[in-house]
Amino acid sequence: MPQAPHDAAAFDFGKLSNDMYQQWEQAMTAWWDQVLESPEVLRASGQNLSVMARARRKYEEGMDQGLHQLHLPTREDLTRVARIATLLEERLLQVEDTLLQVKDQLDGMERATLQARVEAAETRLELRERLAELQARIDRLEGRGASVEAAPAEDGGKPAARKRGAPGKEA
Amino acid sequence: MTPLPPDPLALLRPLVAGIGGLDQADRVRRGASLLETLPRPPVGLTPHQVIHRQNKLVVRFYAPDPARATGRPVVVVPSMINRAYIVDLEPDRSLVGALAAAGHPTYLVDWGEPGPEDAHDDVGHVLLTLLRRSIDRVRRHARGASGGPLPPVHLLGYCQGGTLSAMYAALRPQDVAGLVALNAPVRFSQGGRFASFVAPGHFDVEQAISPDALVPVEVMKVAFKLLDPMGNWTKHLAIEQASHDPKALARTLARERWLEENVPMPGTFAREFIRAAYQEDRLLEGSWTVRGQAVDLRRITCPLLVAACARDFISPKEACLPLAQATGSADVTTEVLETGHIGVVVGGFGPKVFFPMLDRWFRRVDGAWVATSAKAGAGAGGQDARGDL
Repeated sequence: MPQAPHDAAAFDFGKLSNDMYQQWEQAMTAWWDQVLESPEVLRASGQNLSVMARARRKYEEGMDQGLHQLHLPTREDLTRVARIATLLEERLLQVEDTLLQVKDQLDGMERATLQARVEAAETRLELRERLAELQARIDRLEGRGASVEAAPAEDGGKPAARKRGAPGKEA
Repeated sequence: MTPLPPDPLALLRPLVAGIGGLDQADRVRRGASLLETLPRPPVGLTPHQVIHRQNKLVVRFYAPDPARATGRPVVVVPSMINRAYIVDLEPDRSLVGALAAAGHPTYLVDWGEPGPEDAHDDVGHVLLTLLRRSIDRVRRHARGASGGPLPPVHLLGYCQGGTLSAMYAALRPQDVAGLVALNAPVRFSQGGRFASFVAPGHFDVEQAISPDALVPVEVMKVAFKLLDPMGNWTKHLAIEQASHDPKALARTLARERWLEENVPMPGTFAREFIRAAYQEDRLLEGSWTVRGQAVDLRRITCPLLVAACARDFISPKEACLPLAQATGSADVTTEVLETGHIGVVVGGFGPKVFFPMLDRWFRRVDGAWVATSAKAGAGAGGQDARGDL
């Protein structure tokens, strides 16, 4: 036997109410979208903001006047003092910037100076080695000259032909 | 965890249980009551060190994990209208914590809360004084005592912070090695509902915002609530649902701090930003001048990651993605993330998807830099491969 459409078992009140809630939420979302995209609403809210800002300014001016008459520091006075402190800090930071830049430059100069000193020391070492080589060569040449001078007396005056070729090799 | 406060209407709950609309309304009521009474969890807990202060601004340093330490410093620049701890809401889901743990020396620019004495700060002051000096101090801190040239940094700008980071990278490209623009609007005509709120026909910026005062937090809160009016209803449902699990409730309340704790904006800055960006859409045109210097995005030549969120109604992806085509960078990556404006750094999406993505991107860019530097024979001294230091 087919079930009647209005059978109590088929009717789910919870599901129905949930569906209704979902529809309400979707409808509300769509409505808000429509409202917030509307030029009239946007223009009105923009004007409202302007009015609020003006009202706020007027209120603050009124407060400041009241405090001024009571010989109390106004918000504007405090802001001015804080602004001066901020500007002072900014000046100090600018000095710090400059000092850091100078330090960078000095570091760079120090590095360059160190590099130059290292290079100069290396050059001096090279020159010293070269000088030592030359000195050794001169010494050898002098020693050879002495031996050449002494040789004729020892081996009957024959030149040392074998030894003469050696300096070219040393050079 | 603070115990939940007693609910005086708890006896009536069985009567409405299961009856869709009434049940939901009761849950919203309970959620609202919990939101009103429960203390907010502490935030900004990742260990850090303050390396620089100027006026209200503080630069925080999150030391990298020494075992994985690599690469250049990453400077996170949040929006000026949010508290900086939005990138450090929960210790296990913190953006700055994740970057440091991945080995990146991470720095956070905490703009602080401006006072009335800062009302005259303009965009030029924010970019070329506050941010420039912060980045300079970060570069000095990253260089250490060893001396040598200052290393350029990676900038990671979030929301308005991303827009400011892109502007900074255009004004001072020599300071920036890589730019990540996360949910950073640049085509403001596509800026969604907020662009409609402040459109020239609806909003007289000269009348509504005084250059001598701050834009009150209350005004900004209303504007943000109107971006998603039904969100104010559904969030109470989420709080009520989370109230059954202390950990989930703590997470939901931490997220609530993101939404409810705004920072006032200096009037002069707000006027200039709304007029030049939202009303005249000058950034992509290149006609926005800061202290006499045009902000030309084509001057950005460093690697660029543009990340936008598919479900972002604060900075819609249509407003963010055009940055990818606007710069002179040859290395541009674009990512559209399947999450919302807040969900990208709050909640599970960040640790699972976004933070590892950032780590990979930074490592790739740093790797390319090391390779280029080595080729140029400048790597050992930490000099920049582009030779513009």
